[in-house]
Amino acid sequence: MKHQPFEAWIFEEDSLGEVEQRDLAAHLADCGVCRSLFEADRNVIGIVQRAESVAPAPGFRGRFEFRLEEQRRTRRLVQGLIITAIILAILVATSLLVGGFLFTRYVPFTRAVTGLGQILIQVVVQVGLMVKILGLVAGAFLKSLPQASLFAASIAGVGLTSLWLFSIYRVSSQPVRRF
Amino acid sequence: MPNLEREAAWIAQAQKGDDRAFGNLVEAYQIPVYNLCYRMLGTAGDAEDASQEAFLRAYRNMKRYDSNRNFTTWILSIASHYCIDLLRKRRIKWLSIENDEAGPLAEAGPSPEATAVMSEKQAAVQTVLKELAPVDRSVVVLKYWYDMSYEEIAGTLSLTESAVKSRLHRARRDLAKNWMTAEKATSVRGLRDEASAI
Repeated sequence: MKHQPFEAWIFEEDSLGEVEQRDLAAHLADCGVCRSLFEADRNVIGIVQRAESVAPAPGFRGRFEFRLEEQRRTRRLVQGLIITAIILAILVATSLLVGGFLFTRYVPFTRAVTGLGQILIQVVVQVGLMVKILGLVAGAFLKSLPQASLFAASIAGVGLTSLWLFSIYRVSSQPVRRF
Repeated sequence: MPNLEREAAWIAQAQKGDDRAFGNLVEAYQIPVYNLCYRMLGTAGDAEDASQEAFLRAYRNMKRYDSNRNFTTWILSIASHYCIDLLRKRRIKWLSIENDEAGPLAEAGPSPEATAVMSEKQAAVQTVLKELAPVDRSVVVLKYWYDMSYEEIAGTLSLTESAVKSRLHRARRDLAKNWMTAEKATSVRGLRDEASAI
């Protein structure tokens, strides 16, 4: 016995015309194989349709809000880290560039700045012996460093501090959204 | 489910960044979304995680939601895509249609004997459903559990209507054939048990 097209029709109940439905019913009455398939199909679909609705455990919304807040916190932290890394990279690059430039082009200027620093130290060391000794040590230490690196370090310090303050201001000014 | 006007207001507010309005949407849609995830993934724990993730994705994409589209379809679409991806990645066990962890919502149930028979059948359906591809499972669940039209399923799963029809046809044929095979195996086992008892 031929099972097609009846076998295919079993799974196309929505699109069958009246004649096709009648032919299918007649075939199912005669053909045990197709009838078994038909019954199996209706059984499975019936069980899927009758499956009970399930509900999540109470407090689903609260758990969602908690996850959302957690995600936000993580995102803020990651953003902060990325921003800090970028700022640091920019500062290091800028310091190196500016320091190198000043060292090669404006040596007299750096000398003047260092000279002024020396005068200031001399004034300070007159206050007392202790301070004088400390000043001499500090002066000696400063003298031992190359002028360009001193200059670059001071620029980097000032820049980092101001950017750090600025980023703290930006992060703290972000609103914390709550439900 | 909320009424349409209230839902539209919540959606509009949520799109403007109102967390409380989105929270109301979560409250309203937690059951349909959770059920879909539960049908797809099979355990209460996975369903909880998946439905939470679906809502988080919906929250992130809320501004992109087209208000001309049905919100139910949209949110179920997010949940189905997430579950399909998860199943493809993890090849986890297919769901038990039987509810063993979460509480059923239906009020009056059948008698204990009828429930026992139904539970056995549902366990058998679970076994045969496991053989279906993730997208075919979604099509079956959306069609026969959510009673969605072909058009809605197509919209939910980003398929064409003809693709939905052909997937459903194939899924039903496979389900029926697997069901018959499983029934045969059960009856053979039953006969063997009877023979050994004699």
